[in-house]
Amino acid sequence: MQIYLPIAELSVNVWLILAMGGAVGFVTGMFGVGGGFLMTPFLIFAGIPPIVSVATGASQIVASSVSGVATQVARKGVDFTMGLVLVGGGIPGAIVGVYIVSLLADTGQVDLVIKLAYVGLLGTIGSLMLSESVRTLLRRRKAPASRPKRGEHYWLHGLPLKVRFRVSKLYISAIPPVVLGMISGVLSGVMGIGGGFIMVPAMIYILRMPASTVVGTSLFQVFCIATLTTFLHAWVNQTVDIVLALLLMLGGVVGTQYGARVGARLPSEQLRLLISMLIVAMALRLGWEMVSTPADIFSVEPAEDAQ
Amino acid sequence: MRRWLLVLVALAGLAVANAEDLAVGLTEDIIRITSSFTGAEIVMYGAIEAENVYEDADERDIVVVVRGAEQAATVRKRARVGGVWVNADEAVIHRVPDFYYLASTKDLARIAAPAVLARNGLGLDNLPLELPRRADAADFRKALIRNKLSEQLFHEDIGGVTMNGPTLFQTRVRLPANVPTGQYTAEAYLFRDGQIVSAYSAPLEVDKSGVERAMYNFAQRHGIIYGLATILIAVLMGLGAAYAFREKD
Repeated sequence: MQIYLPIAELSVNVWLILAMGGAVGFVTGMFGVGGGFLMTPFLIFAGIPPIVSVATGASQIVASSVSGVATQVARKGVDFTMGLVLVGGGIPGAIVGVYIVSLLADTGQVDLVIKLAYVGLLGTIGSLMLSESVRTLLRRRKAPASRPKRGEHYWLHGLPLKVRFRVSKLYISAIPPVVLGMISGVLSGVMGIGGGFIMVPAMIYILRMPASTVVGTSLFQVFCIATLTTFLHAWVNQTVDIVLALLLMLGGVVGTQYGARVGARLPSEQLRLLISMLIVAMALRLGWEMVSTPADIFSVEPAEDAQ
Repeated sequence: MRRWLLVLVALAGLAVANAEDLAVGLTEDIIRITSSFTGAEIVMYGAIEAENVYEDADERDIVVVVRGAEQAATVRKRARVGGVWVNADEAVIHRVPDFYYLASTKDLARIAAPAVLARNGLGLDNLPLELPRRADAADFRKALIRNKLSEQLFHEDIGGVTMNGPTLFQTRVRLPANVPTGQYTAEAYLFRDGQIVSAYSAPLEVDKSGVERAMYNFAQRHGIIYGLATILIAVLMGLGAAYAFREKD
């Protein structure tokens, strides 16, 4: 069954788009990441123009993350104080990111930079997480897991501007979460992603938040950033396709719920192993795309007519 | 206005009584893109009017062209830099039609001389593209046409015009699902001895239907409301799903 997308200006298969939304939503619910790093390449692969893919993908992430946050609120898994501090850094970060893209667009190399950023970031984070979770899984057979202890003091505790994060039972400086939020904001602006897959490990290893609040709080932060991105794209670029968004949301919200179920049942070590494998696979695929010889070394796109 | 033009054409036809003329019709002159649009097919049909239609009927040829509005296109060429394929070069080509569909009774080279074809922009080799002045401009031109052919936005159907007897002809023009909206022209040319003896041109409009057009216009004109509405729908759908799938206590 085909349906015409009024903003993207082409027809797509309804079931394909529903399945994509469902698959990305499943990942969202399971790991607490927005899934933008999967959605944008999926949509581009389906033939949707990249700029519509980024903008519409963001609106789908809004729906999936709201759905996930609502479920997590019921489990008291959202640290709103921490979430707002992260968002406080994320908003200026996202604006800087959008500005970087417009600067790069003038040089004609924006595609290359975005792809390099994807490969570099996904590759680094993915392989770090993969080796860590494999080590944890192996060690767990012999001795009890040695996760970073929450009570332990390190340099982070020496920073000023301490804030009490009740839900996460943390009393730390607001500077690291603001900086983290800012980094994920920049990435969201440049790469069209919520940045959840960076936030989740950073919350565990740098902020040392308890596992019970990591997913919910990350989803909350992703929700805020995706809302901002959707709004900016709809306002400035008019590239949010509502028909495409509705199909993705429909698949996405259902997928998120099933993903959350599965995620709640799996031990967190296995969850981390799975997502790190997913991230590494994505990095390899994108990397391969960059080095393999293209079918046609020429590409065509509409130009601003200077006549 | 148009009626007067037709009268003038008719008078011109009378003035040269021996000349051959074309009467052409399209099955549709507006293509509406609806939510279930998967492309369209229009039929252009026509008749050759002549004093003696049987006289040298074999030496007549018909060429039909449907073309869209002209835009500029950027053609980028990739090269390997340090193992990675990057956009290394680009050329802007002007006057690229959004859509180009040509059908003819036979091979264009056997219908008319290259100069005649070029003057009327007939055939993919004769499109009036404005290329940048550079040595390898032809490569970029070839790449552009290759790309448009693969997107089905350019098409050449040699032998696609069928003659029914000495005077009636018809051809099917297929517009793919990704056809751009805009003003098109549908043209028909009657050739004899390598020269155009009669030509016909009519506008063809490709536009979004009511709902699709309304959504597009709203997104363009009221981006802020459109964005807020999208977010509201997303939030409601997310909450709805969370409620529908809530954990039973």
